[in-house]
Amino acid sequence: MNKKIITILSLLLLLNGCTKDDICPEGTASTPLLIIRFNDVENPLDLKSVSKLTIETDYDPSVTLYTDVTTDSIAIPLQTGSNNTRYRFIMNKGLVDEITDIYSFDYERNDIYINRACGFKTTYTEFTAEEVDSGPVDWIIYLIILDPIIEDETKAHITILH
Amino acid sequence: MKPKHTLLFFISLLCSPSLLLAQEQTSLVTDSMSTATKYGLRLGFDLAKPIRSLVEDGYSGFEVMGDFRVYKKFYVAAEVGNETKERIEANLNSTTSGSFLKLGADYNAYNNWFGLNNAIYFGLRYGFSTFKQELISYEIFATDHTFPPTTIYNSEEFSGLSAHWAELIFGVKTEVLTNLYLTLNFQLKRKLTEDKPENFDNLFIPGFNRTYDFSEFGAGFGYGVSYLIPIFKK
Repeated sequence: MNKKIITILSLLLLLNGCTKDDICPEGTASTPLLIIRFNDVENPLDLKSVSKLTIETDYDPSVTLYTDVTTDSIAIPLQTGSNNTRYRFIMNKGLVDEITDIYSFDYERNDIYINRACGFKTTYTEFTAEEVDSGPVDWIIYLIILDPIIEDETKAHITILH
Repeated sequence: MKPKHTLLFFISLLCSPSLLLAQEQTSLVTDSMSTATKYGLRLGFDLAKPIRSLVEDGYSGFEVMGDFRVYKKFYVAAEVGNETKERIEANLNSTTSGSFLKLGADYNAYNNWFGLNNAIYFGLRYGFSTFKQELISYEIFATDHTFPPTTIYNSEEFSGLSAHWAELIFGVKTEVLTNLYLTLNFQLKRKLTEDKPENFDNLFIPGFNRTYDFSEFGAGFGYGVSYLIPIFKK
């Protein structure tokens, strides 16, 4: 009888201990990033890589996300504590032909409950983009919104034609 | 000894038991020990919950219990109480509070020695709770760390929630003083139905204890004291 009590006691203590829902598993979909695709302004359906691209946040102090990268698509985060995020897209930073385009992104946020370990993530809706006037020359010709709802990272949300 | 006296001695030994037997019969009839078992209402309260209220931050609760023997080893039993539990973690900060009621029956599987009233019992309960959840604050889960983490303070209350569950109890009741019992029991629970708040969850249900994301089961234990109010004897 004592053995039975001890077995049941330990079983219940085990149940009250650490269980798998105390840990947020790696790979759980978190707050999605904004996925940008770079296309050719002359052939908008074709991807066109950018080279020597630097992306920084347009705040003081600024945070640099990417420095002099060459790519045809990129992912950047949107602020979860505000309905607006501003970025500086800089081509050829530090060189004589440096061009900076500043864009302001506006959106609505929805906080979605995942589970007790991971908590809440944010998804974005009604996404719009506006150029903040930054000089006479632009390297970004058009910024087109493909999907104003940003819920996952499976496909591009905006495309930049250059 | 003379053979005659030895023989007389043995004959008297043989004859005397019949005399003793006669005496025993009369003494059985006038035996003063009572074989009656007490039937009554046993009321008490849980000690584990008030202790937990003192020891654990963010918890307060109490439970009152009662049972009544209906037939030999069968009892009907009920517990009623109130619990409040705060979950204070950086990523999620919420409070649950409400009351619960458990109704059921116990079966005493122990054969008491004569005159003792202890029990080792199995019980079943149907549990029911009404409660409210308050979501106080949470930190947004984001794997990218470009921006500092955002904590949202958006107090939202979900009231009028309820949950039903079934419970299996295994416990021990010991009579420590006349009519005063100590109970220790372990409970295995399974959720039956549950109102989940929209875009949130029931992290704790009063009477059920904490819930789990990946299981409908839960567990708990009780340690209480109760007093038997005798009504009649059988």
